[in-house]
Amino acid sequence: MNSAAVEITGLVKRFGTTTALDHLDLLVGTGEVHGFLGPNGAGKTTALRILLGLTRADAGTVRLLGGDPWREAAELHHRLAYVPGDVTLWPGLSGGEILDLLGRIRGGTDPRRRAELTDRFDLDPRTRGRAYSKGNRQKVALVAALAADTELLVLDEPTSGLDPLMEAVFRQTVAEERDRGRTVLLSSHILSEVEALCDRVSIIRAGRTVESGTLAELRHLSRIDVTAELTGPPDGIADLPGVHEVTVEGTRVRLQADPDALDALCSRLARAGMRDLTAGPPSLEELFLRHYAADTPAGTVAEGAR
Amino acid sequence: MSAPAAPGAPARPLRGRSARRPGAASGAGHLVRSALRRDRALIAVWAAVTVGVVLGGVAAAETTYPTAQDRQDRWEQLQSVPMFVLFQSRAFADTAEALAVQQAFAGGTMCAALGAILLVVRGTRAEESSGRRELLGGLPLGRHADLAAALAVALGSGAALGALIACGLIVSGMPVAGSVALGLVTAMAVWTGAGTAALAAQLTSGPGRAVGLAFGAFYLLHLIRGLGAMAGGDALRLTWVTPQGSWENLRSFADEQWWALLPALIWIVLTVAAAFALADRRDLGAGLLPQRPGRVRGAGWLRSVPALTWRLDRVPLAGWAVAVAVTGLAMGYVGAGAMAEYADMPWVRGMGAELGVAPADTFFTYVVFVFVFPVAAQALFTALRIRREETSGTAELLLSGPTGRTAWALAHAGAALAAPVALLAVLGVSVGLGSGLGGGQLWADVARFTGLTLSLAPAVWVVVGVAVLAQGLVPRLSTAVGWTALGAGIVTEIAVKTGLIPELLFLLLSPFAHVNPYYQGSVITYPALTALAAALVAAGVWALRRRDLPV
Repeated sequence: MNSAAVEITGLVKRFGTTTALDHLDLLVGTGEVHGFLGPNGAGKTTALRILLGLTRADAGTVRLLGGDPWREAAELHHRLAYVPGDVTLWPGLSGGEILDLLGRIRGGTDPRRRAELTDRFDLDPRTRGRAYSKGNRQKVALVAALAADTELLVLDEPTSGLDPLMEAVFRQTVAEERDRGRTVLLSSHILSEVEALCDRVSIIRAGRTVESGTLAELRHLSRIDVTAELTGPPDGIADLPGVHEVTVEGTRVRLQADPDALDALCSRLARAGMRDLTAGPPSLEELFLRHYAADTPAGTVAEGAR
Repeated sequence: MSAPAAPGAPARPLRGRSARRPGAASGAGHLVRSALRRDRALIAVWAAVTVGVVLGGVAAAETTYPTAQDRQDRWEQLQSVPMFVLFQSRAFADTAEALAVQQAFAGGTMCAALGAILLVVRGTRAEESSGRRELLGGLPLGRHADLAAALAVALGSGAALGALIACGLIVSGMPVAGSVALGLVTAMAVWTGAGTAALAAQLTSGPGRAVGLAFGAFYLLHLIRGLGAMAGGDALRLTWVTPQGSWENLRSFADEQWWALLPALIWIVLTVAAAFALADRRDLGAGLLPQRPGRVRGAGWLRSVPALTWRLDRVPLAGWAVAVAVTGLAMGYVGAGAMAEYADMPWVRGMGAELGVAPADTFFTYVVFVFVFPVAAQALFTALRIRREETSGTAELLLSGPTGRTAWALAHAGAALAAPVALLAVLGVSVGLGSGLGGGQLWADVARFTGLTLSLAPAVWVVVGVAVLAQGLVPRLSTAVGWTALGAGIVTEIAVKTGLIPELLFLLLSPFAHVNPYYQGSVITYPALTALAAALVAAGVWALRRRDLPV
């Protein structure tokens, strides 16, 4: 990893009596696509707004592209582009006018790039802001952000409202941007999207980072799902250290095992005699469900202003 | 709208509510409650200003016209200056109450209607255009529940306002019949505004445009009434086709003719019925008037936040400019003719001496000044866009880019500071042109009136400054604070004229006091007001830089 594009440590943000962010840590390396995950109300949008200098941190340090996002907001924003989770446009302005305005405020964008993106996302630039559907408003913001030639892209659930076809276009485009060396911070709920695009992910819950690393690392830390069809009785398997949630249906055994318990488990299963064995990392979905389903019930922490 | 029950089949009671046939307006009750909650600040400010204008103006009639000579002077003034009839209304008796009604009529009915228009548009078109109405689409609400609820809120508030004014007048010792009549006029102004707004909300797809259309129509009807009343003779018929004419013909405090209200009632029923009928003929979110597709590319100048404010403002501003220009031309043209003979009257000379202007200009100086209030309302609305952009989310779109907060806020404040200058200039030039064409000296008049109207701008800037400061410091209250500042200016203006509050309080509360021809201070008033406005804007931007956005 090179120098960090985003470096957040111990970030705290309170709204009145509710604590939206409770010592959040986030590290996004330059050139990586970083997935930012968490249940609704976990504080993702609040964290992104602090990163953009829209909201002020109560405690902790936040570095964005080597600068202070609150004090140097306008300067730093030359180097990043943002797509809000809930895009609002000026009702009377057409999509084309909005793209031109946002691009020119940046000092101009490559017209060919803009045309190409408008084309790809199948965006009608003549429609006025008030007439766009949610997905189309999202597309206007996406085209504006992707057309800006910035080092960093901050995307807050950018595909919410997009149809599957446009989602695929989005994935392809972000993959291209990653290959061109741009850093992307992608807040998302769509796990297949995260799996396809992200080098590393951070999972936050109730305003706190609960997990961070590459997908492989996260999987490594997690238990492995094992299903075996045995010839003999599965005696004593449940007593092995590092083996959990054992269920036995006749000769079929399902269980979860810690990675370092695999050796002992396999030899025990081999002794019992195996007809069939499947073992694999948990699906990404299971991984997230495990982290999302909080000890603290979801919804105790408000997600900022929205 | 709802299917009749199957013939012959005895209605079998189902469980609870579902026994009732769902009507097109069913569920409106819930929406009424939420509307009352959503708009409580608007309703409070609106009721206070309307009651202040009508009740305050009329209840203090005795202090406004204390002697028979005062009443006689005013009566003569109304006979000789047609502008009062055009913009205010006719008087039907030279009693203090009747003269006070003449003066409060236009302001009172327009305030009443404007509040109703805002209420109805906020409850219907604005909810639709924000998408909140769609959220309710899956609930067991009738198709017209929102329209019915918005109208119920507006009609109910109208009845309450009317009752409040009637009771207030009776309590302050006014004749009962006239008090009831004026209460009715206010209530009907509310209802007419509501009906017109309900209709306008079906035609356009933008809430701002619906408000503009409805209020424009209301103002136009007022002027049509005025033209008929001013011309007299056969043209008096014009007063019968407009609601305002029929309220005028009711003759409050001057031997009321109650049947005169009939045309106004018909107008209300027709607009409401038409609104419901048209609501059936359009899709959710669409207006009946066709909308042009937008531009493929932005115009070449659309490259900064100030340019954006111009792009957002130019159409509504053009509408304002046309309205102001037409009003100014009419005012100048009709006024100039009357002035020549009018300037000889002793009380006009006295007033002119007091104001330090030539007798022939007295009238203009006075009437032109009143137009500072609608201009200030436009400026205030523009200034409050900082908060609107913040809550809608478009601010995030810009501020996440390389636009600094200071530049962003100053662009919007700048638009709000520049717009009233433009409108006041249009007002001055058009009054001058009208006066010149009506027999005055064209260019001298243009220069004189433009100078006069532009001198009012610093007071408007102070209101803009208050709005910017409120948006920085107390964003959630800023809309209420802004309109209260303007409302205070209007109410204290009337209160001091009618002797309800001391002059000192007026000078303290209203920036307009300092540019008012009657209370004009020294030359340093203008730079002082300008400096105050600049300080308020600067403090507001400073506060805005330090807080979370959006909150």
